[in-house]
This record gives sequence, structure tokens and C-alpha cells, in this order.
Amino acid sequence: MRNTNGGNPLVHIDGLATEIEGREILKDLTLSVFPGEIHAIMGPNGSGKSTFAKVLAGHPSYEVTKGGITFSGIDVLDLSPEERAREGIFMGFQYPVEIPGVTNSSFLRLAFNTAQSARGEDELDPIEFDDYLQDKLKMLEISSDFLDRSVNGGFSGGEKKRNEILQMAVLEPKLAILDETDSGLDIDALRVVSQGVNKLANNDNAIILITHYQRLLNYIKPDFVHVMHEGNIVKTGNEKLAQELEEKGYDWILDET
Amino acid sequence: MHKEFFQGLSNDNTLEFSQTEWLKLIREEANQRVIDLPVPSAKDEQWRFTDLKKIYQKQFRSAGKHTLNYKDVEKSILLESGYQLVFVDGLFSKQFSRLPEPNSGVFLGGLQSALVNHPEEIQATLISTNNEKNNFFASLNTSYLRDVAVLHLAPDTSLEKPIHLLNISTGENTCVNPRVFFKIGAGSSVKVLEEYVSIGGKESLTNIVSDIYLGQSAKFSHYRVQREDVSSFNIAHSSVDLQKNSNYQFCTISTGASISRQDVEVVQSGEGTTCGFEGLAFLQGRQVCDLHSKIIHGKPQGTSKQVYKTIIGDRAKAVFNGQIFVSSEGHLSSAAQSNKNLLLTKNGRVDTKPQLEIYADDVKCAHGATVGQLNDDEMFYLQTRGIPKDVARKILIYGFAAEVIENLGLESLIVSLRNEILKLTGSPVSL
Ligand SMILES: Nc1ncnc2c1ncn2[C@@H]1O[C@H](COP(=O)(O)OP(=O)(O)OP(=O)(O)O)[C@@H](O)[C@H]1O
Ligand SMILES: [Mg+2]
Repeated sequence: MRNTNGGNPLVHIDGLATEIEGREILKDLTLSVFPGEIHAIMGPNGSGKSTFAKVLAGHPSYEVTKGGITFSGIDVLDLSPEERAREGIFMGFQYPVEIPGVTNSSFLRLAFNTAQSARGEDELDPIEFDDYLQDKLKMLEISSDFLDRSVNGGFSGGEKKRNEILQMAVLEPKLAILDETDSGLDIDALRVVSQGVNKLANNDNAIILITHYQRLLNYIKPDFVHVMHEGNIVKTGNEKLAQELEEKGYDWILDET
Repeated sequence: MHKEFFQGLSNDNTLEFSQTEWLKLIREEANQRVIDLPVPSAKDEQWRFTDLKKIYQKQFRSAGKHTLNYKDVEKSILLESGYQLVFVDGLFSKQFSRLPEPNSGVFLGGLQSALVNHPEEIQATLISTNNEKNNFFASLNTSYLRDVAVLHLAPDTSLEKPIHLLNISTGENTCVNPRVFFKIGAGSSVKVLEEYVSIGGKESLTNIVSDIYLGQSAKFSHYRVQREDVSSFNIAHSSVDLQKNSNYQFCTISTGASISRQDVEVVQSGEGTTCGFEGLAFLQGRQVCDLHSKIIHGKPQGTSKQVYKTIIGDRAKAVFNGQIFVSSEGHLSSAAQSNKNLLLTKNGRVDTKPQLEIYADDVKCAHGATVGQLNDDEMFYLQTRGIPKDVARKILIYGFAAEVIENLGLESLIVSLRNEILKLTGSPVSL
């Protein structure tokens, strides 16, 4: 059984409101996530799920107009995305970006070594890093050919998503926000990626899964399921809520609120 | 007048070929044109965006005979090259060159031995360009010609390993006039890296004229890399003639020189020819880099594909003029042109202009130009992986260049350009 509710929250989001280009997207959003927990966030298209993920990761285009984010007890609003990453926040992108000219292995190593030196630990050379990667590649059933290709360059949708989880596996964050990592995965890939995420989850870290499909939650068991609507969490429940949503859609909740 | 800049140049009459009658004659004629023709100025449509005042204000002199140590040259050697033709300040250097055996079907060398081995072709080329190019800088080149880099490939001769033509500038305030003549025989194939570097050279003018001829079904991959000292000036005119079914793949990379200008004219004079034209310029400080390309689809079923990219930092300026001319005989031609510019600062400048003239039916022609900045979402992606903003920036700058560089097909050139660009961006990372 996973430890839920021990001590202080890993991340506490308090009455958060954000704007982009003068438009308010998140409105008074409050959420606490404790070490060892898995939260799922569902909600209609355009309800603000990706915005929430990007704001947690520190996207500079979104302006926080109200509220705050405390992570491991520190206020992260003034931290840059790279500083937040080094504190242990990781975001898996709904649409991972292609970066030409850098091989996936150099990129992973650069990210890993940057984190290592931030932790005051030794950097790995390419050969050591290659060893470190092997287990993670196996776990996610990623062929090592992918390491020699440029980051996400010409990867299929599903391959990009796998690559996101590979990055998570390499960086071992304290908080991972996975934005629709399951979208675009075939049935086998969904199983492999989910097993990977389950292996990475432990009592000290936490995961926020953003998804449209209850199916993912058959593989990764959430402690909480939240429904987001118009930039706020309008309902919180457990796994059963996801099943209910699968059957009935969102209307009944939106009517309720 | 603006003509003081070359008044200090002198003709070296000790060169062995100086007494060759026809050469003497064309040089005299060229010299007359240099006197008669006006120098290019912003008033000329072809020079509107590139001001040569900085050149005209100088007083160049002729280069002497400079000796270099192997150690100086070593770092510029292309590891995978089969043969190597080195010119120091425009003069053939036997010492640093590695040439093919005589009568092997491959002739590579300077003017003196070319006059012995291929006299008619040399004469024909120098005379015809000279007549065609009623052009100030091309005439200046002929007028002060010291040597010619010649590659002559007999028909059906294919070279696996690339040839490296290395031009080294060593002088300060010198004007060097390199001349290049490549003739690739029918059915032959070869790769050539034509490179311009400074080893000690500063504030010098390199003024190049090249003539390139591809016989029927020949295949030529031609890489031109200009990485001269940033205080130098580099002006180049090349004309390329493509016979039936030949395939010319050109890639031009510029990182050096204060002002660089290239005019490249490719004439598809036979049916079914292919021309790939790629380029990359990386500009900083107040560098100006101007590429004028002209592709003439003169016969049916020719294709051309151009991808030209520039990265502009500080107060630098990139100019691109891409002319595509499809003559009335050029039906079923296909031409594509893309010019992408990455502006790193507010003070950088880009002037880009496609110029299409189409006089045939059934022609496919596409062109596009973009000027953009680094993409915020790409930056954010890298930053969320803990990569600092300045490093992320360098990665993305290199990523923009990568499309051209990683395609080069010469591994050690890819590595050296990658390192050079990362160094220019001040990057501590190796990718
Ligand atoms: N850069 C932007 N400029 C203007 N509006 C934006 C911007 N980014 C997001 N929005 C708007 O914010 C709202 C929330 O978008 P967001 O991407 O967070 O939704 P989502 O819940 O992730 O949707 P989906 O399920 O389709 O992924 C949308 O209406 C979107 O159009
Ligand atoms: Mg989304």
C-alpha cells in the first residue's frame, strides 16, 4: 500500500489564477498533492488542464495573477522552468517538441548531468551514461536506435510519448505532471508506458496524470480523480468517478456545479 | 572614383606562365575593363543591399610568397580527403598538396601543370568567362590572376574519397584572386570541398572566380566553406554549366569575413539535370553576407531545389536574392526555393527576395522566405528538462543550422562545423 497523506504536501497550489494575453484561464484553483500520491485530472477540451501543467512547470507566457504554488515547502513562482526542473518538477508534454541537431542521447545526458551537478553529484561520461540508460530503455521497450536520432525528430506520436517517459525515468523527478501521455499510444504501448510509470512511482514522489480516458486508470491506479472545468477543479472523487465519467460524460457534473 | 583600393596591386611577372601570349592578352583586356568599368555601388540593383564602402576605403597590396609550417596547415586538413590541393595566397603549394598520379584520369593541380596537361580547355575557359563576365570583380580577378585551381576528371571516372581544395590567406591587407576550374567528365562523379581560411590573414580581400562544367550524367557534390577571418572580405562569382542528366549538389557555408558576397549562376544547358543548392550563413557582429543565386532552367525536365538558411546575431545582415529563370525551352521544369532566417537580435537585418521569371508551360515552381526568432515552446521544452536558458538557446540555434550541416555527407566537416557553430554561440556543450 502506498503511503498517502504523510506530513507536508509535496506541492500545494493555493487559489491560483493565470492569464494569457489578457484572458483568464485558471481561476482560483486549489490542490494539494502529498508524497506517494497519484492524482488524475480529467475534463473537457479547453478546460485548462495543459495550462495547469505548464504553469506548474513555469511557462513564461502565462501570468499568475492570484494565488501561489509551494513545492517542497518553497515558493516556486519566481523560479525559472529550469530551476523548477532542478527542484524536481517534471512535465510530460501533450505535444512533445522536436529538437533537430541534438541526438536524443546527448540531450538526455545533458539534462541528466545538469541535474546531477545541481544536486552536487558526479556527472556521467557518455559510456557511463549509456550503461545507466540501458535498464530504462528496456523498461520502456525503447530500441537504442532512438538514442542516435535527434530529439523527437520524425518520431511517431506514440514514440514521442514513450520518449517523454524515458526522460522522466532519467531525471527521476519528485513531481511528474504527465499531460495526456496516454493519447496516441497503442494498446501495447499503453501497457508498457503505464508499467514504466508504476515502477517510477514511490513513496517519496507524486504523479499528476492528465487524461481523457478512464482506460489509463486501469493500469495506473489513482488516489484521486479531479474534474477540471473552465479553469477550476469542480469535482474530486476516486477511481469510480472516472468510470462514471466514462459512462455519462461531463454534462451531469457541469449541471451539478 | 573608389578605385584606389587596388592601385597598390602589382602583376607578378616572374610567374612562369606570364609570358604565355593568350594569357597576357586576356589579362591586359581585363585590366582595361577594370579601368573602364564602374565599381559596384548601391545604385546597382544587384548591389542594393550590400555596401562595399569598407572595401573601397582600403589600400590592398599583392600577396608575396609566403611559407607556412605544416603545423599551421594541419588543423585545416580534411581527414577523409583522398587528394588535397592547397593554395597559399592564391599560389599553388606543392608542399601541402597531395595529388593523383599522372594519367590516372584525374588531373588536379595549379595553372602551370594544367597548361601542360589540358592547355586547350584552360585557354577556352579563361577566355570565355572573361568575355562573358563584363563584371568588375571578375575582371579584377583575371587582371591580377596568379594561378588557377584545376580539377579535370576524365569521362567515367568516379572518386570515392573527396578532394579538398584549401585556400589559405596569410597576409594583412592583401588582395588575392583565386581562380577555380572544375571539369567533371561525362558519367564521372566526385565530391569536392572548396574551403577558404585565414591563417594569419587579416583585412584581406579574396576575390574568387569559378568555372564549373559537368558533362553528361556527371555527378558533382560541391561544398564551399568560407571561414576567413572576420576582418576579411570575400567576393565570389561562380558559373556552373550542367549538361544532360547531370547532377550538381552545391552547399555553401559562410561563417567568416566582414563582407562576403557570392554570385552563383547555374545553367541547366542539357535536358533532365538536377541541381541541389543548400546554404548556411552564421553572422555576428557587423558581418554582412550576401548570396545571389541564379538558376537557369534552359532545357526540359530540369529540377532545382534550394534551401538557404541564415542565423543573424548582433548587428549583422543577411541578403538573399534567389533568381529562378525558366526559359521557353524549360518545360516540365521544377524549381523549389526556400530561404529561412533566424534573427537573434532586434538589430539584425535580413533582405530576402525571390525573383522568378518563367517563360515555359508545365513548370512547377515554389518559393518561400521566412524570418523568425527562436521558438518559445522549444525553449520551454528544453528548460523543463533543467537545461539553462542560455544553453537551450545555443541548442536551438544549432538545431536551426543542423538541417544543412548534418546533411553534408562529410563526417569530419560536419563535426568541425558543428563545433565551430557551438563555439560561435559560446556554448559549453558538445552535442
Ligand atoms: N497561448 C494562448 N493564447 C490564448 N488562449 C490560450 C493560449 N493557450 C491556451 N489558451 C486557451 O486556454 C484554454 C485552456 O487550454 P488548455 O490547453 O489548457 O486546455 P486543455 O484542458 O488542456 O484541453 P485539451 O483537452 O484539448 O488538451 C483554451 O480555451 C485555450 O484556447
Ligand atoms: Mg491539453
